[in-house]
Amino acid sequence: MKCRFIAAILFTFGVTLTNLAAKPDSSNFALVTAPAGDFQLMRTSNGAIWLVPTKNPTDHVVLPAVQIEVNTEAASSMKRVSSDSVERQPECFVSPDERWIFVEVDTGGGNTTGILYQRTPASSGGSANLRYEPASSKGFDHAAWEFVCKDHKLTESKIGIPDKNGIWSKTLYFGAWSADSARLLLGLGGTVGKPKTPEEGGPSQWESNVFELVYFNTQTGAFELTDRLRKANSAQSNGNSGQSDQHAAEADAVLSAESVGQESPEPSVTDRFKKADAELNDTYKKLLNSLSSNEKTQLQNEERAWLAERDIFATIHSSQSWSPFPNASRIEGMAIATEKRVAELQKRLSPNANS
Amino acid sequence: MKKLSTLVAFISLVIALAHAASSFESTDDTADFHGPDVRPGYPDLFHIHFVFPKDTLSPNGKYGVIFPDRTLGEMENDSLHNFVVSLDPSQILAELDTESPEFEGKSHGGYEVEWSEDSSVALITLEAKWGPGEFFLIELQDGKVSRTTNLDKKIRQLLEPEYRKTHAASSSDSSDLIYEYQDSETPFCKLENATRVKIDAYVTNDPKGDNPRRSRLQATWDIRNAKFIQQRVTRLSNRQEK
Repeated sequence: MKCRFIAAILFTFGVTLTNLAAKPDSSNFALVTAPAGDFQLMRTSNGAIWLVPTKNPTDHVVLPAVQIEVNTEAASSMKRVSSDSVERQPECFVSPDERWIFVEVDTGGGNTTGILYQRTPASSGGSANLRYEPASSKGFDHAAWEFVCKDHKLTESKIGIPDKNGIWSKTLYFGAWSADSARLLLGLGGTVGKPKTPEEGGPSQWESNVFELVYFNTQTGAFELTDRLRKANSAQSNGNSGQSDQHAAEADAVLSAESVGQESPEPSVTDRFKKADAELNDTYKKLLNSLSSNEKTQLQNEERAWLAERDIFATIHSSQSWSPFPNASRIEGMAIATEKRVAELQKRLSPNANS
Repeated sequence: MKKLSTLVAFISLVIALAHAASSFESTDDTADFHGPDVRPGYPDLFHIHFVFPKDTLSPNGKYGVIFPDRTLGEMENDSLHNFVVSLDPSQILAELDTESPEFEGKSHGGYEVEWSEDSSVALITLEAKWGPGEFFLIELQDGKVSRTTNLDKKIRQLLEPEYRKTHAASSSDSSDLIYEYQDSETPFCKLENATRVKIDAYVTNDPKGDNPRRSRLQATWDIRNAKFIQQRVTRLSNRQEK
């Protein structure tokens, strides 16, 4: 009887300690903050992702883990593991309306896969209406690959077969959320067929490669293409993705997801930048001509400093956009910074022009 | 049954204690950095994929250097950047203009950041295979970077004439020169307050060769005027003369 009592005490103590340790604390890694700031996604030291309400952090709930296929040990075969067992931090993207969360998970060898979560209908107060469940019962990644394979008349089993060194390529990654949260832009790419190792050595070769940009439509629950994506996919398959000009974006770049009903061609960021740059040159010259000698030198120094700031802004813009097309995104950042600079200089020019 | 209850309780306790311990693990060597311009609902790339080593912090605790983590390190070079940052407000102040950025776990990589006592100047060394690879001098004023000097390029410009003399028949240029440590304890470049950089650099064209050509540069860089105020290049004929 005494032993049972001690055991019960110990058990209670153990459970209490576990709960204490399970509260959000500084060791949990903040992955993302929801657009309205209502909650954060945090990763705990045991790999689980928690939804932590900003107002009541103790009301946290767990984002359910799912089974994913990985090859993290460079082996020639794949294995299925729980998504929360992956060592690297997942990357989480919350839709603008906060009804969807896309989680990109490392699957080894530089590859990633994705899990889409949907917010369950609100039931009661507290943390209950914060629950999210996987959006697809058969696996979001499989559904995405099924769509791409159908388009390319392939079977998924032919995509991403590892070679004897465990090198493989089958990746699904985030592109962007549309402003209306109705479309999630994804990129899927990988090798097709069995690998062949050349007799003379060197890297393995596969039959072909596949790459496609697709949308997941959250309103219809189906994958789809628009003319914008078809054009980008066509540019990619024609091998026009590489650009040597540092001010030219990738031809297959898609930087934003189209809202439903607002489908349009991808605007050219290169043209946008060139236009802004020409306007800046024009405005700068006009302003320079209106200044005294000392002021001219000051403006010239300021412009040199601004050029460095523009490039840093563009790098930050590209980094924080998480675009699969960093060059195009960087040029977009340069265009945005230049447009702001034009507005600034025009403001300074106006009083001079008026006088 | 009693034994089983006790065992279950004991295991629970051990698991709870282990979990509690791992939850409070802290990274002693790195600090948190949150990047600017985070998109609503998107992760902060600088928080997730950059490391901020505490040994890069300025004496006033306001500035530091961030490097890409292993995940970014596995990506193509175009995605890799090294930044000088400020902490409050959280800003990216400058990017190091390097073709071989440092990143977590880089093979033959490494870095050294030396700050002046007043935190107005940072001397950043990026390591390479045989020794230091590049040197950057960062000058700060009013929370902004007022000037970034690629000291490595300036050093190579000084060495260029000597190199041309010894390599007359070669089409190589000074970018083929490799810095080579004499001993890992002696830095090539050292700050003298916030005013000067003392340089004592050994270079070679072939660190592994039997008959490499070696030179030594002893110089002083005047930070304020951004120029060398003292310089001496000595040709060393073989390893023994180092």
